[in-house]
Amino acid sequence: MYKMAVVGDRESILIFKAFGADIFAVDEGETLQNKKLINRLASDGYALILVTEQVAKHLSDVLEHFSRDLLPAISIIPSVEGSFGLAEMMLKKNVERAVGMNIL
Amino acid sequence: MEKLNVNPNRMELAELKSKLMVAKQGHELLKGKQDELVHRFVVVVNQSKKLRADVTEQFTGLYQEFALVGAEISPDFLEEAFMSSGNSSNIEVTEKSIMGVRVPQFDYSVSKEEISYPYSFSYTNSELDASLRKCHIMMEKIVLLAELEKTCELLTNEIEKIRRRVNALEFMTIPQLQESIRYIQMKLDENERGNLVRLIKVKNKTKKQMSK
Repeated sequence: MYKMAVVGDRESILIFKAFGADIFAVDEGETLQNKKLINRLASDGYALILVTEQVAKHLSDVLEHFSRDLLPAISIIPSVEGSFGLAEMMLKKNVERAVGMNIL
Repeated sequence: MEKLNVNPNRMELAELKSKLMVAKQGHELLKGKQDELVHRFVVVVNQSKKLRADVTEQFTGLYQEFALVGAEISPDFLEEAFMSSGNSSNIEVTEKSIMGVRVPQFDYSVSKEEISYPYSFSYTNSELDASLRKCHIMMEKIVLLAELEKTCELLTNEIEKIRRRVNALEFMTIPQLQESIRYIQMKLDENERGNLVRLIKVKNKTKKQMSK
């Protein structure tokens, strides 16, 4: 049995508390701390980590690192400030890597 | 293409020929696998793209509603209300294999249960209930989206790896083997011709001596 974590600014992630996810309110500027947090969560048996876009945009190398492993799955969710398409961009990049060009 | 460093003899030739056959078979197989993987990948990507657009839109709506809730109820109280939630997030993870690539499958139990409101209704408003309901419905999609995106990533890695192998076989190993085989065959033919010439010369010489 695995757990689920949500990382982001407090306002955006509060509601997930109601569904039993563990929430970690962080400051998007604290890149190093956030990287450490993600690493800790990954080794603590969290299968699913949701990260808000605002936080995730500074953590691309960590996301890249965990994209090679089966678990955890790190997924990007929009924050209250709205979405600027980071997840779509990453999907596009994957398609380009796999197919050789952007076919979307 | 550079030939391999081989001795031009028949044994080496036979060995290289069998190697070439294996390389060609392997190339064929890997190419087939790559094509099928890309095919599956495109299906997953399209699904994931659609779901991502859907989820992003729903999130925007959710946050708008939730902002209204936050306006009426103090954030501290809101946090307290959720903290007492008895739910614990339990995700069942099973593994699935797509063409030999192991991908996770998530099963989120909370999204299947009836929604429970972990707070007292007397201190909260109906907007909170509404946004909680909305988020509850979204949960399933969010988990599915995470699964699809993870699958995409893992498939991308595998496809990249296989493409590199296919290319290595197609543009390095197979031409090298072919070149080496040609080299050995030429060398053997050359030896054969040399031998023939020598024999003819010897024959001519013995003929001359006989006639003397």
